[in-house]
Amino acid sequence: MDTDLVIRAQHGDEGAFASLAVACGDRLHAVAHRILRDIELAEDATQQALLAIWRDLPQLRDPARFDAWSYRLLVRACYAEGRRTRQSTPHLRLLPTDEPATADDMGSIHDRDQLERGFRRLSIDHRAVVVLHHYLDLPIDEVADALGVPAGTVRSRLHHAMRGLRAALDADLRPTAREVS
Amino acid sequence: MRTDRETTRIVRSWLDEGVTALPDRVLDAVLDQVPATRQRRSWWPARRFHLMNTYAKVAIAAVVVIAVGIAGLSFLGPASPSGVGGPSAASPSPSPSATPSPSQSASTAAPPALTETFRSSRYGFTISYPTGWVARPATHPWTTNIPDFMSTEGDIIYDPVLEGNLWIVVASKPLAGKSGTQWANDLPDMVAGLDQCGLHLEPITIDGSVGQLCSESSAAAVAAGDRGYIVLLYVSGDDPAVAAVYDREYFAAILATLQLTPEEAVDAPASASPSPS
Repeated sequence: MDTDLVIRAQHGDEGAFASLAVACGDRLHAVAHRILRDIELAEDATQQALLAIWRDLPQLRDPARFDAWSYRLLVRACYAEGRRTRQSTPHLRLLPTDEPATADDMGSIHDRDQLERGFRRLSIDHRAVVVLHHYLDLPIDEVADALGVPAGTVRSRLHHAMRGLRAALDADLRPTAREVS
Repeated sequence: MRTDRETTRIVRSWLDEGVTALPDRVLDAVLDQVPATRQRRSWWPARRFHLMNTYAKVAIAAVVVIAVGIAGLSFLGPASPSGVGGPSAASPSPSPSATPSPSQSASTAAPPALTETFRSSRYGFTISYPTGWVARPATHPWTTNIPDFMSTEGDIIYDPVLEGNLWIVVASKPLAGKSGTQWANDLPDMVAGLDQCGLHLEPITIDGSVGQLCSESSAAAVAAGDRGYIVLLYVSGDDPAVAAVYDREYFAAILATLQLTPEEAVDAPASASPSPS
């Protein structure tokens, strides 16, 4: 991230912040969507995170750490969105069935469905670690820095999460409409 | 049964699917709100106050006192006919004052009274906290390091205005073979993710049980029955006035209200609710 933009935005330059938001908005939204697994929630979380970034930017001591810091604010926003909608009714997504699927397609569809289920059973803490490490390719110490937890905690959460996802992948295939709760 | 490598490959491939672009309407909504959203100015590096040693705090306090004294003398100026420091002819009339909110109370010199009580049936304790603060009971058992503000594993009690900058967390778990002394001595490792404990621990008695207190931050660990407890008052160093009010003395006052009831704790999901005292 352009540290000059960060510094100018820290000093209240709204134009600089607009450029920052354009530059990091897609990335933050992609991460939020992968953590929350819901487009609308991800949009809300990204919006809240961007506003929090603007509000708290003067408190960022090292502009070079903007990316990691922005992920921390985004994960906080995801927590908030996750809590807000915890009581919402689960919805169903019907997988396409109008074309015959090959064996590979079926395996892939099954994996995606099982991963979706397994992932949704994880806490936001665990989801965030999986997404930052396996989607953004952040090393463990950078994930720890972004989330503000020790590296050991990140390793522990990652181990737990991946164990859960592997268990989900190994679960039996159910060939009907699948619940995505 | 898949291997770890195979699982990782599938998970990575799955994560690569899906949306990436943030819709323009969301970005527009953010930018529309920016002019009306005040930035939080920080004139003090975050958490620095916590990490300063006692001598540095005393030195800064002395500088502030001298500066205030000099400013006061220059304000009073030479003796006036009406007497030194006497009211001027155009003395301001008192203006009506609003009821203080939690954030306002945080910036006053006097720490707020601990008038509310939180009882945790999950972790087995009761504790008093300031009026206006909000209690957010844990919804998951404590399994990792000390729960932070966003965690669902600790009972969090926080200032609703300063939120993640001013809060208390309490949690407990079975000692699982550790002695109470071992538990308390592990305090620096437990708080490492949130705060620095300092160079040494100080013994402290909480509800009749001897535990340990960090020398440089407001964190304590104690064991009672078969459970280990941890308590932390997190104060961001962003605002030195807040850090000065919610200091270790105030933390000691909070700890003095802590009653440990390990026999009431449950490690399965349970409810907990704040109740006015």
